[in-house]
Amino acid sequence: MKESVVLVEGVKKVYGSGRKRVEALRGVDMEVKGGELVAIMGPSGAGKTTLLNIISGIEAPTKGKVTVRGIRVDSLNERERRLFRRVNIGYVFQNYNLIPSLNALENVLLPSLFSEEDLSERAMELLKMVGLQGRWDHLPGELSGGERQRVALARALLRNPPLILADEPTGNIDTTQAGKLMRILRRIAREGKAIIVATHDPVVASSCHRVLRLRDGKMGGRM
Amino acid sequence: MSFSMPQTSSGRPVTPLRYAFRSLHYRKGGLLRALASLSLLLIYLTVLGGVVEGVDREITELSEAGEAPSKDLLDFRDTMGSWYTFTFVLYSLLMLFLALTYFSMVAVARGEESHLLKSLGFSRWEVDTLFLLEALLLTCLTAVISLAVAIVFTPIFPRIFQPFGIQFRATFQPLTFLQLTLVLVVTASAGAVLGGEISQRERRVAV
Repeated sequence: MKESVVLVEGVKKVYGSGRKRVEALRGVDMEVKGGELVAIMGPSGAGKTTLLNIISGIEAPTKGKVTVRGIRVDSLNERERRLFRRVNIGYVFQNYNLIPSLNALENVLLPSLFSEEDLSERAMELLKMVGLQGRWDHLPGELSGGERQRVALARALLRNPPLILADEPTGNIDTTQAGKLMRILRRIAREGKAIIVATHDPVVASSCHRVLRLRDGKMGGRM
Repeated sequence: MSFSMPQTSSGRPVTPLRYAFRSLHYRKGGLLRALASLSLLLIYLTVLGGVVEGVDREITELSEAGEAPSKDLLDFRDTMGSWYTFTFVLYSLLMLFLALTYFSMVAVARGEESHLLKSLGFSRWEVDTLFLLEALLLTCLTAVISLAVAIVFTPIFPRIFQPFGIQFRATFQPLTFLQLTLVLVVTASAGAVLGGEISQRERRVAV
């Protein structure tokens, strides 16, 4: 039986107070196991990014439990969450978030910036895995949208985290590139990693193992 | 397809110092403009200060020798003195304004960069280190170039003022150091005045 990587129980997130109070999440429950590629689908403002931010420890939930590989993320302090994120989470953003002055290899190596560890060989292997081995010395501005997103994915994998969170990873790329990226994500999932993809694209969702629907801050069931 | 490992001098392709260097190199267009404008400003202030001090010295020397300085010389000193003070204050305010504008631009343009670094698990201290290192490098570079330009060009100005009968000795005087300090402090605290292109270029190219 596959090990549970992410367990979210009754998570609520409220921003502001009084008349400005906004309930972004209203009691979300979900579980993702190792080797699973799960899509969270929902319209803009449904709470997808908030949920990913809470799972990764970027934000703390107002109520509820978040457990990642047995670690209660919601009970960690800021410093512990930062260290937790460094080891356990690989994050892929919709708009790539590559550093424009660094080439592809250096961008992949960014998580090791303050580390004495030399991960160059692993970074090159990852670039090879995403099909960009010949373009390691190109700046982000010299790469297409799909290529940039694959560099971002390689960066997310550098420290070999057990959980990959992708927030609308295909939002800025064409369908061919999106298909290529999803094939890579499936391959990574086969190696045992848990992957959560937030998307509102049904085509992307259909290439995942499981789809969860998030609407108005609540899980609306499987699709 | 074969590929070769990149060869770098320090072994690790990315270090905080290299990150800062790359960041500066990437923005070299803005950097050159900033250096050029700061150097010109420094020369301008040095010359004005030098003229005022040169005239002052001449008046003092004449007084010590028991001779009365001419009315023209006294008028020249008064006019230049007040003009110099006004210009100095005006340029100080301008530089501070540019620094504030730069801060706002950088905050917008590099907000996503900062967010990314934090989401990768870097502490606030580590993120600040990167930006401060970049500012420090730029400040050192600006200081060295400004100083070099001032040293090279300042001796030219006595020749310009010779036809007017003013003995102007353009050495490095206290005022010059005051100006240098102003330039350095403002540049250091601003992280540098790089020009208005940064934010748009950053948005266009990557994040």
